[in-house]
Order: sequence, then structure tokens, then C-alpha cells
Amino acid sequence: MAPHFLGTHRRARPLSPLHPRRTGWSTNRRAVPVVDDERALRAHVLRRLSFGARPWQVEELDGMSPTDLIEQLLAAEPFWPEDPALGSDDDYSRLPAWWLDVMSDERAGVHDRMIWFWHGHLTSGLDKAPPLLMYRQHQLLRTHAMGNFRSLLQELTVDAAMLYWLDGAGSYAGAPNENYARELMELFALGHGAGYTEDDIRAAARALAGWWVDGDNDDEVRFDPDSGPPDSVSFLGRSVASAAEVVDAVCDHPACAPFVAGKVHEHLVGVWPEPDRLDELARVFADSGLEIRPLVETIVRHPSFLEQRLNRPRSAVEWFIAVRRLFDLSIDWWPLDQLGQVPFSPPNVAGWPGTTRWLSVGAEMTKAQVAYDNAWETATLDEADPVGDLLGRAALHEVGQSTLDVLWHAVEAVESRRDRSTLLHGLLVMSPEFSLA
Amino acid sequence: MPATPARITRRELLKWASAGAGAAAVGVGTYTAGRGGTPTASGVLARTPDATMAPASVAQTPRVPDGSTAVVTTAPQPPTAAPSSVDVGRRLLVVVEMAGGNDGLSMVAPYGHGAYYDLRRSTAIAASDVLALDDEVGLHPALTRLHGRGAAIVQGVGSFDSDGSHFEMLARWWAGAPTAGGRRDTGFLGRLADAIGDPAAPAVALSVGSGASPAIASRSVSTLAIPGANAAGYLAGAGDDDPFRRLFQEGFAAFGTGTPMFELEARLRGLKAQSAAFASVLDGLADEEGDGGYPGSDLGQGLRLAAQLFAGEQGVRIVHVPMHQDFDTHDDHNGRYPALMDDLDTSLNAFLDDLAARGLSERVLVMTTSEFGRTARDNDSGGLDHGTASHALLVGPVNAGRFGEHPSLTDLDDNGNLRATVGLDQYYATVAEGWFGVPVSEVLDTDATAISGIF
Repeated sequence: MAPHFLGTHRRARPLSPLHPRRTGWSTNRRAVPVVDDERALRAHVLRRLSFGARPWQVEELDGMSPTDLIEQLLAAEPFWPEDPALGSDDDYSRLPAWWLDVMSDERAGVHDRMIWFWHGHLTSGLDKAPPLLMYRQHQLLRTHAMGNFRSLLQELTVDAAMLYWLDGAGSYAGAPNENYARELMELFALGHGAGYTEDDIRAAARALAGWWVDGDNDDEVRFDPDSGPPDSVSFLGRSVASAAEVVDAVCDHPACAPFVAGKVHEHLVGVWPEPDRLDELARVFADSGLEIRPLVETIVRHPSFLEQRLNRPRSAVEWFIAVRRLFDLSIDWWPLDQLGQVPFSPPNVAGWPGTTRWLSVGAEMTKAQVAYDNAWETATLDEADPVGDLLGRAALHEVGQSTLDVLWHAVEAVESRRDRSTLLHGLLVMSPEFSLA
Repeated sequence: MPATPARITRRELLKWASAGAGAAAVGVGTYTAGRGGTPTASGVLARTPDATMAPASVAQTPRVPDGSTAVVTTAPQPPTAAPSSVDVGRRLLVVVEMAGGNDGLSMVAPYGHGAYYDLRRSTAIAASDVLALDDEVGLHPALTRLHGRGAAIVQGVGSFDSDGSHFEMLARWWAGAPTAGGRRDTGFLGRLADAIGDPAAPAVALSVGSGASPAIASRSVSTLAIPGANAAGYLAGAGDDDPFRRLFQEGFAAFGTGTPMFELEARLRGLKAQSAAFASVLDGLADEEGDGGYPGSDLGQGLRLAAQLFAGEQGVRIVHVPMHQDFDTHDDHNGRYPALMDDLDTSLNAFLDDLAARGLSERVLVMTTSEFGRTARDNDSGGLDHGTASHALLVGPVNAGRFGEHPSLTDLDDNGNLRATVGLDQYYATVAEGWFGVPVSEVLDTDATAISGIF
């Protein structure tokens, strides 16, 4: 029989197993739920506003309220990582490896979280743009991640990787490619059915034409007036004659602020906002001139941000980084291909499909392989309280009794302290709780 | 002059994939490398007989009424193809993906036409070598057993607005979207699985050896991609001789039985149970002795797994097997292509024998896909570059023969490529409706109509 876990926890405070009374959180609730362990809330804040807590980081912050932690993360200086040193044969694998290392760095906070969001929202990928151009685009996202959405979209529209990814490169006004024009509105800024027409798409495509990438001169982006729009066209009810004017018209469209605000909320809170809340966020975003920082601040300072815990699965990248942190290993990123989420290689222009796509049998098999093959060099856990030690390292502060029973059973079943530590690490990352964000 | 976009070549992709990265990432852009246009009736092969009429030289076996005992006096060896009498609800499908771009004119050579030899100065197959199907076309010399068994050849399959990018065209094939604009959030095989599958099955469609394949992305039923039959070893099958792994597997299985406290946790625990169950299914298959006559290739092993899963009746209805060989024969086509056809012939032959031994012959259809065909003319490297239309094979309970119109060898498109005569969506519609009885509108966004006469 497995010993009861509560009361034996030595290093961390007793955990609070999930209780049914905490189910059914609603976005309409304004009060922060009563949780007897602020550590759970701090772990949540770090999961959502960075790429998760370091081992024992949650305990080190004892005494800091979750709201203070939110403010600390919001105020942090952006992190400017080392250059990935591209230019070798393995750039295609080096670039994603580099980004995963950046995400795993403890300096990666809200700013890096938003870079990751924008990459999945304003996508480009290595299948059509080479590594160096994807890296340049990444730096563009890094510059504007918490800045101004209009500036971000203006620069991204004529970014070399984007010009390749959505076929803007070489598009000429006589027979313009409509790919970017369509996705700019449908996926990037306004949303499907936002009131624009097929005529608007054709007009935008014409006004967006003329840009190309000069492969002979360091892939500089250039504009060829002869291929560009010879005259102005009617687009979204105004007259436009350039890419910049197209982007301005899109950003001024009434659907833009709510669409983008909803997407950011969905990323940080895990659900699309309720209509009233969306109106509020869209107003904040629009009134600020599409500044991203005030939007993010408004989202995460709202009580719903702390309420909506464990309401979505960890994406493959989030799970993978959590495993690397817990195992203290720089595990090679190839399993992420099996799991369907390699940085710089979104599956299509819509980015990575949300939430439940991360729950699959194939993913479980791959996760089991990662867990089993890499658990051998993990930390040797505390003799007296191996489970508490493990959970503190993993920053898991809301764990159900069923999972605790499995872990304690493993403790009882293995004699050697080293083997026990290996088994516990391997099992924990396969637990349901470890797969939640 | 605007620069042309840089892309990863197929070679690089395969190198990347072999290092583990795979081809899961697929853009949805539109590089219009060649416009196929609407097929016309002109050209040297336009006089191919009625699309639904099989050549006279191919024997047609009459349908055996359901439940009857056919008295066979002279059992053909190997059996020639004939339509199935099995209820559509029990039918199964294997999709063999020839990634890289399969040259239809080498798989089914139009040896009866001088234009073929004009186009293919270094890569044509001599008329004396082809395995003739009629006086116009014949199979590649390596397809000897397939020639004996018979197959339905769907001619000129492709996109009417084709693209030269592997990624773009693979994405279209996976999604079942013939043009650049189609939505790609689910795969054709995934939607087909939704239409025919049991929502309670551990997996209705399975992709073997690929990454998280977009081809099987579904809306409702479970579909899954596994690295290979041995992938289950981490979750099932450890015996007493490996107590540590056994504990790992027991712990994992126990996560599937715990009491959930809230909705998402319930779903996760259900998934753990499902994974442990499917791993056990896979683990149970590995015990068959010998090689079963299958070659050791990815295709052979994938087909063997398909036969085992089908026989196990675990709810798997569709198995997707990427060949993982390089059909991208930009150079030395004649040095490389025969091995590809040999693998296809050997693997399919073993598979069909295996199905017969398991009593599954009438239930399993094999279809081939490839993102595009190759250029009509060969290049100066003895190879063939990215083309447009290709031929596809339907093997199993089918009426053998040629279906669809053969692309003209003289009326080429603006890029000198074959003009597709059968849209990839029409090919898919043929399988969905003809084989599974699934209405086309349920699985495709286009108005494609099935080709009749095959099943």
C-alpha cells in the first residue's frame, strides 16, 4: 500500500491536491479563487508568462504574491540572446536548437513568450525561407514583440522570409499573387468573415506588388517600381497605392483590435475572452494605437488570468522545455518533430493548431521515449521525501491524489535510490498534471 | 529582376528527415511553377478508349455473389484482380505514398507511342522490356508480380494548377485540396477516417514511419502516427526480465486509471489508457515469427504492420505508409528507379499473399499517391525534373485496366509538362465513393466526381 503523501513533504510545503470545488472556473468570476498555497499561483504565473519555473524557483519566491510576481515579470528587461552563429551545413537544425536554448534560459520572460506567440500567429517557416532569413525575421519579432502592432505588421509585410513564405517575392501588379493579401486579413489581422471581400483581396494584392528579395546582395529586400502598383486601388473603402497603405488600412479596420486582442488573450489565458471582456481589451488596444504592452498588461492583471489555471494542455514545446528543465539536460530537439512542433517550422500559415492537438496516442509514445531514454542522468532525489523533492523541482503544486499514489508506489517498488530517482523522473513527466499548462 | 525564392530541395529535406526532423512542416504558399490548364482531347493518346473500359487484353473476373461458394476449376496463380463483394463497412485501405515525385511514364510506359521515345532520349524503357498491358502501355520491367495480378491504373492524376514545390504539392495531396487556396486543417485520410471509423477505436487511421502527418489529421475519430511497429516498446511489453521498464509501463498505465478531478485531466487520463491499450495492440503484433515474405524496406515493414493490424480487428481502417525512398530522380533515373519499382513489387506481392492467408483479400484496397510526376522530357543528367501529372495504382479487389484519359505526350503545357487529366480530388473521390461508399461531399470541398468501373 502506498503511503499517504501529505505530511511527509519535507522541503516544500504540503501540496494541495486538486479538489472538485475548484472545477468550473469561469471567465466571469472576478474574485481570485481561494487557494491555500500561493506557490501554485506563482508556478502558474511562470508557466504562462515565461516558459515555466526553474527547479525550486517557486519556493525561492516565497513571500512574493502572485500579483507582485506578475508585475516583476512585466517590468523585466528584454533578453537579447547570443547570435546562433549561422552559416554552417547544419543551420536547419541549429536554428531551432538555438531558440529552444533561448526559451530554456531563465532570462526568457514575457518578452520571449510574446516572440513565441507572434511566431505562431504571424507565421513563416524554414520550408520556404532559408535559416538566415528566418533568423532575421525572428530578430524583427524580438524588436517588436511588446511594441506596436502596426509597426510590427508594416515591417513583417516586407520581411524577406515573409515575402518568400507567402509569395510576395516577385509578385507584380499585372498579375499579383494574392497569398499574402488574403492571409494578412484572414489570419494575421482581421479574421475570417470580418467584412472584407474578394475584391479587397485582389486590390490589396495589387497594391502589395513590386517587392522582391535580392539574392545576389545579401537577400536585401527591394522594391521594383515597374512591378509595383501603377495607380491606386480601392481597398477597404479607401484609396491605397502601396504596401504601407494596405497595412495601415488593415490596422485601422474595426475588426483588427478585437481580433488581435482575442488571440493574445487566448495565448496567455488559455481561452477566447467573453464578449464583454473582448470589447474591453479591444478598446484598450485601439486607444493605445495598437501598443502591445498595455494589452498584455491588461490581460494578465485581470483576475481571470490567475483563475484560468491548468485549463489547456502544454504544447509540445512547453512540455519539452519543462522536461529539459527538470532533467537538467539539453535533450536534442528531434522528438519535437514527432510531436508536431518544431520552432521555425509551423505546419502551415495558420500556425500550430491549438490545445487538444497536443493530446494524441502518437505523442504519448514519443513522450514515453523521451522520458525513458533521458531520465537516467537526472538528480538523485532526497531519500526521505523523494516525491516532494521531485515535485518541487518540477514546480508542480497542484497534483491529484491518483498521481501521488502512482509516484509513491514507484518509491516503494524500487530499492536503489538512484533507480528510484530515474523512475520517478520518467513517470512524472508522463503524468496528466505535467501535460497541463 | 526579382529573385526566385530559395527553397529546400527534396534532397535537403530527405537529409533533414533522415537526421530526424522529418517533413511535418509544410507551407501552404503558392509557387505557380506551371499551369496545367484544362485537359484537351487533342494529342497522341487522346484516342485512348472509353475511360471506364478496360483493355481487352486484361482479363476481367466476374463478381462473385456474396455468400456463394465459387467453384474454381483452374485457380489462377497468382489470382487476378476482381471487385470485392464485401460490405463497404468492413473495407480497409492502405495508402502507399511515393514521396519525391513518381514518374508515371516509367511506372506505366507508353511504349506504343513514338512521342515517348522522342521525349525520353536517355530514360525510356525499350518496348521489348516493358510488361505490356495492351498495345499502347506496359508496366515497368520490375513489376512482374503486379503484372500477373493486375491493377487499376488511374492515368494522368494531378492538379490542374500544379506547382513545382514538393512541400506545396505534398500539402495539397495530404489535405485533398487540389489548388493553392484550399483549406488544410484536416487531411483527406483524416476526414475519410471520420466518415467510416469507430469513434471508440484506439486509432481509425494510422500513419507508419512519418512524423505527425497532416494526411491523417481528423476532426472526430482518433488517428495516429507512430514511428514504427517497435514504437510501442516504451509503453507495453516489458516482462519480468526487465523489471525497471515494467515499473515504468505499469506506472504509465496507472495514470490511465486514476480518478480525474476535472475535465481536461479526465481527457488526459483517457488518453493514457488509450495509449497503453494501443501499445499493447502493437506489442502483440510483434510476436509473429519470420519475415513473412516481406522485404526489410520501410514499405515492406509498413505493409506487414498494416496486415497484422487489419487482422487484429482493432478498429484500424486506414494505414498510411510513406515509402521513405527517393523518387526525386533528377539524375541517373535509370540507375535509381528500378530499385524503387522492385521494392514496390516485392512488398505488394508479399502483402497480397499475406492478406490472402489471413482471409482479407477482398477487404483491402491499396492506393498509391505521389505529389507530382516528372518532366515529360528527360534532362542532360539522365534524370527527370519536377513535373505535373503522374499515374496512380489501385491494387486489390479492382477491375484491372486503365482508367481516366492518358495525358497527351505531344500537347504539353507551357512548361513542357504533361497536362493532368484526372484531378487528385477526383482520384480521392473515386476511392471514397467507389470503395467506401462515402459521399464525396463528406470528404472533399470540390465538386469532383468518382471514376466509375473500377470497383
